[in-house]
Amino acid sequence: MNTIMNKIKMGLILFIPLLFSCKKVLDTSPYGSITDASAFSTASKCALALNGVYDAAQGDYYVTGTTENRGYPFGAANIYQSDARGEDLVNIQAFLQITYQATYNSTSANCVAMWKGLYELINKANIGIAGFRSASGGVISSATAAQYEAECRFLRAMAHHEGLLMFARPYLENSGASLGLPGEAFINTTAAVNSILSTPRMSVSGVYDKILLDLDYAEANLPAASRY
Amino acid sequence: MRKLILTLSVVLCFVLNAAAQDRSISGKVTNEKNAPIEGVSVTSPDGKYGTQTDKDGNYQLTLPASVKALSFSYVNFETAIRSIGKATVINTTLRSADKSLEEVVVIGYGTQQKKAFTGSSSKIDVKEMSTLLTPSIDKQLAGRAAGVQVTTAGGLANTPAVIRIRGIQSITGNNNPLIVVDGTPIITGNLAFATNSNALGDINPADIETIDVLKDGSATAIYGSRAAGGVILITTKKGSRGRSKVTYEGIIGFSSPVKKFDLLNAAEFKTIANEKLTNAGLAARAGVNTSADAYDTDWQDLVMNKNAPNQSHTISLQGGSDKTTFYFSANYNDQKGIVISNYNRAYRVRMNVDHELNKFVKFGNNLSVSRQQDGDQNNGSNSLGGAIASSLRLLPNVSPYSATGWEGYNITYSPTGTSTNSMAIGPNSQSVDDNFFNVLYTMKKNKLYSDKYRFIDNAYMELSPIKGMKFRSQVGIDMFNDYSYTGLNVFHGDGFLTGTSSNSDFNILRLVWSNVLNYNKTIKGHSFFLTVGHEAQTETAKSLSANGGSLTDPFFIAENYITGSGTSNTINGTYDTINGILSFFGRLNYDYKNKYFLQGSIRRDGQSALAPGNKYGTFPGVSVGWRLSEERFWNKKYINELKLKASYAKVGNTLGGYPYLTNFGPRNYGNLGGLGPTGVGNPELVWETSIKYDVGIEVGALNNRINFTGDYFLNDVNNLVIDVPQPLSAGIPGSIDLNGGAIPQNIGKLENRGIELSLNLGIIRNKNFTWDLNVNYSQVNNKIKSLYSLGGVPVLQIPNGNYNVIKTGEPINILWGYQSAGVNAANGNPMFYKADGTLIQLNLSRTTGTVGNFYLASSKNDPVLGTLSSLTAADKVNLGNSTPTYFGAITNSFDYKGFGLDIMLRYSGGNKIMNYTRQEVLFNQSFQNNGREALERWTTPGQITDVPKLYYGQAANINQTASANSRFVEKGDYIRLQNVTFSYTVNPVALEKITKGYVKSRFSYKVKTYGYGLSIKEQILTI
Repeated sequence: MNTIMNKIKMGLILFIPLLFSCKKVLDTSPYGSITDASAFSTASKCALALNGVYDAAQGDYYVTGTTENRGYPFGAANIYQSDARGEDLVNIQAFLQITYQATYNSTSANCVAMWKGLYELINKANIGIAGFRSASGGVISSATAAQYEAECRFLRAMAHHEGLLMFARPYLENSGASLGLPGEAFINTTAAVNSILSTPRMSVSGVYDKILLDLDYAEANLPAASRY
Repeated sequence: MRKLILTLSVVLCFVLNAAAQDRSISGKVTNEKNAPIEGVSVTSPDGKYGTQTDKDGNYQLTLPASVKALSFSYVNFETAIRSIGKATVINTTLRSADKSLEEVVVIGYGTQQKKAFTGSSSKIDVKEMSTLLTPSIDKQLAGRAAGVQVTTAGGLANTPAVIRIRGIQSITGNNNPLIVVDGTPIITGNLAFATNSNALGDINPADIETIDVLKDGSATAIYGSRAAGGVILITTKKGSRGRSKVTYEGIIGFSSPVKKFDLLNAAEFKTIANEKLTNAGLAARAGVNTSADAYDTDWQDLVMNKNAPNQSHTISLQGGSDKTTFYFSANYNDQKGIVISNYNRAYRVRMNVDHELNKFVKFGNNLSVSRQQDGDQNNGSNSLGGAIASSLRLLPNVSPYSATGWEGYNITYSPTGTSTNSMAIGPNSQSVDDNFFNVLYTMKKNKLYSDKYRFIDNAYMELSPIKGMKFRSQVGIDMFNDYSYTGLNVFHGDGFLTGTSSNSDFNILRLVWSNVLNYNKTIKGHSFFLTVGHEAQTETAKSLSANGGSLTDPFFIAENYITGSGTSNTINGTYDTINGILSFFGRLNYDYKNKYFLQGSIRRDGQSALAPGNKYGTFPGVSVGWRLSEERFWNKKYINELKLKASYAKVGNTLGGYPYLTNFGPRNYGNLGGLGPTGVGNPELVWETSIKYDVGIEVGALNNRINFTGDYFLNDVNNLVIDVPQPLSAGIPGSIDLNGGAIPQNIGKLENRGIELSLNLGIIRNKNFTWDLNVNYSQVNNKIKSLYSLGGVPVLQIPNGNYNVIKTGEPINILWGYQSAGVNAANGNPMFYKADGTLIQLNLSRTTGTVGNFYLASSKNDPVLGTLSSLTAADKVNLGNSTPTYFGAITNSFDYKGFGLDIMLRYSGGNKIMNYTRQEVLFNQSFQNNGREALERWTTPGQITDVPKLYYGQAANINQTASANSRFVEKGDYIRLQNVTFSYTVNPVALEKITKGYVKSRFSYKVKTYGYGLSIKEQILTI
């Protein structure tokens, strides 16, 4: 009996470490897509992420889902919708009639698409800024990180400005005290979501202050010439 | 559609043995009360020698020395086998085989006697199912266990059934039960790329020894994280010592649809189609070309199988020696579905071997290798090539064939002139609307095929170092490989002008390693049974697919993509590590004198889908039981078994993928590469947990001739993972319309509560005639208790598709749509109620108002249009519960001198079904065929009917397609004859006397009808 008990004890002692080596079963990461854990892990990926923010600036998916891209906020849709609001123009397309006659409201698809596009740009710019800051000094040099951040902040300022033009009262009215735009942050936790939803809308002048901060940083850190 | 299947099944059983010297064996056979049993059949295993006991239970036999065992059998008792050593007197006690509490329940990582089991579980009678013609067991589970609801969609041969145990447990998570075969959880689901397929079809039902369904928390807690939807434990057959047995089982059947949709014939179609057009102010189009041939085509008939032969052949070999036992089986199964291009062929081989090295060490291996071939057709509800979708709409006055058409079919492809992707207009002035194809041509010429190989192996080693202790280590490998091919014809259909040839290869590998230590000890009436263990599971899925378009020659769609055959090629690949799980568990069962029972279990699971720091969850469970019938004060005269039990447990639900990570995808900026987030994850996600309560009673009366079990259960599901849509200003990718992109969060609670009742009655038990009745009834009430809050404001309902919502205080997925108010008898306008009860009508008159607008109506027969109104999403109301609240089955089994009759009735109800086919297809307002309901449409003022006026092009407004409409909501209650089986069993002893040989056989002729493809009555949105 004794030797058998000893054999059991030996077996278990040899066995238990094997059990804990199974831990790697839990430590897997997706192979099929890049995640926030690795999106800013190399210099080339950082450059790609920056291009992604530019892409978000020219256009993102339309309100119908994830199939078509019409170019909101600053791409093709911006140009032709702006034309339809301009002068020296006669509209013969039923689709553009509501823009031409200014009979749109806050639920019109084009307005929703503009709002959605602007905020997706702002969110992607924020994700980019946070990523570049974390990669600064390591994966990319602090000068490069500052430049990338500057480009994102410039785009963010453009988005805020366009948002004010489209959705808020002019600065001249009430000297900028009217309601401006909702705030935003890098949203990826329930806490962030709740804090954003409980933050009141900024005033118009508050938004302009943000724009100026972003533009000042961009002015200081953008290079003299483009990369291309 | 429903199918009628006639089956003929033949089971032959050969028993082999050898011969030598004679000796005389005698003895007495008694029952458990020590009373003698007369007429017990005492035979040698090969059937060569036999006798029966006399009225004192005594028997005497002269046997050669080669006969090593005796078999004692009698109706309604368990057959006992006693080996003959040197003894010449062998007495036996036979145990009653009534569904008694003597049976053994398979629980997680072990077995337990049913009388000691304090959880809630159902044992499925596998023998009743083994002679039914189905390729997989999931479809035949319906009605066989209380609390287990099984629905099958359509009449396709290869779609898996949907199994729900005690209701729907999750909104976005997994609702399927965990299926464990021989201790290893196996891959299940509809996984092939090109066709439907059923991964559970790789297990041959003839190989199954027992099926146990674990339903409550305490039974499932040992499976911790994956047990939220219940657990189905399947044990396959093992070998047997001492004698070899060869069994052949053959089943042949013929299936035909029992019910088709009621459609218009050619003459009726011409009237209805032209009326739609003239009401809209357009010229008639049907039958206007009188010089062309007119036909009356039944498109449904053309695409459906009639008397399609199905067959299944299994040969199995079971045997072994003292130390080694084996079970081997080989099976071929050929099934046809309701549609002509649909078939499933399975080839399954199993080899189970167990070997005892010495009294301390045992090891074994269960290996199953199978191949399933599935052929299908594009059957999606939105796809143009779908067989049923097309056959309901195609015009009945055109023919599928044409003497002048390409390849003899009525299609307008021409190698020289202009070709279109349609049929010739024939007697009409246009072809069918919405580009539907000649479905007969596409079904015969397109190829959708998948070839799947499955390899499941469980290897185990068992050590028994000291008495009462057993250690078992088991490794399970489950590998699934799918080769799928889609070839779309270039002359007509989805592949028009380009042709498509695409292949995909998809591979899943799952590895499970479990180590379990069991220890059994009894001290003076106190029994302890301890189980401790560890399990690790990992699964990887990868695929590669290639798609060739613009084929150079239509020859290349027959088998496989060939290099160079297409000029536009795309390649796709995926690689995923699906959920890795690591668990530690322990369970202790204690009972005192088989009277008082206590069980506790605890399991700690980690899953890879959650963020580091949140990966682990702890799942405890406890249950108690009290066998009142064992108390001294209890008089066992009438009620011989009475047990009360209660249990509480917490189980979890695994998630898939990596919901805690934010994903980035390619977002190219012009011609520059770019990366952008495509979805935002939530690193705070934790386990979805379910707390299960159960109280139950088990009663056995009149010496177990009456068996009753009743359970009341409550499942409280917490931390439901729901994709919470954020406001658009959060900028989360994936938004649609006014709903911003979603982040998965643990928010939401739901509960399921209900009762399960199960009754077995041995109504008549005579020597020649027996009548058994089995009734089960289950009731499940589901309620959403809370959803999430946005900015502090609780959200009370969220949409789930176009027809259902998830609303607090209601069952999940209630139908949410417009309340129809019938038809205005004065002008045929369809009427609706707005949310505040106002009556409005849709104007279908070209002489007043605008067609397609809603106006107020003063009553249901006033032709005057009121002021302009509207019907908006705010007017939608609750149209009923979409999941059944009660279901069950009643089975009667009769046996008279070897002739057997089994009748199973299934019933279900408490739900409403949104008949989407009636809304979208049968009452369409396009140039397409209609259902016969269209004949009742409004035509003259004053006519009272439920079917509105026809109006070409106004289907979206008349029917409110893409929303639920109460005009099409039907009651889902039904009671249906599920199986009728008539069989004849030849008495083995009589046959042996007649044939004077060593052939023991059993012939049965079975006539069976069952409702198989429940496409009308069971259009339930399942999640």
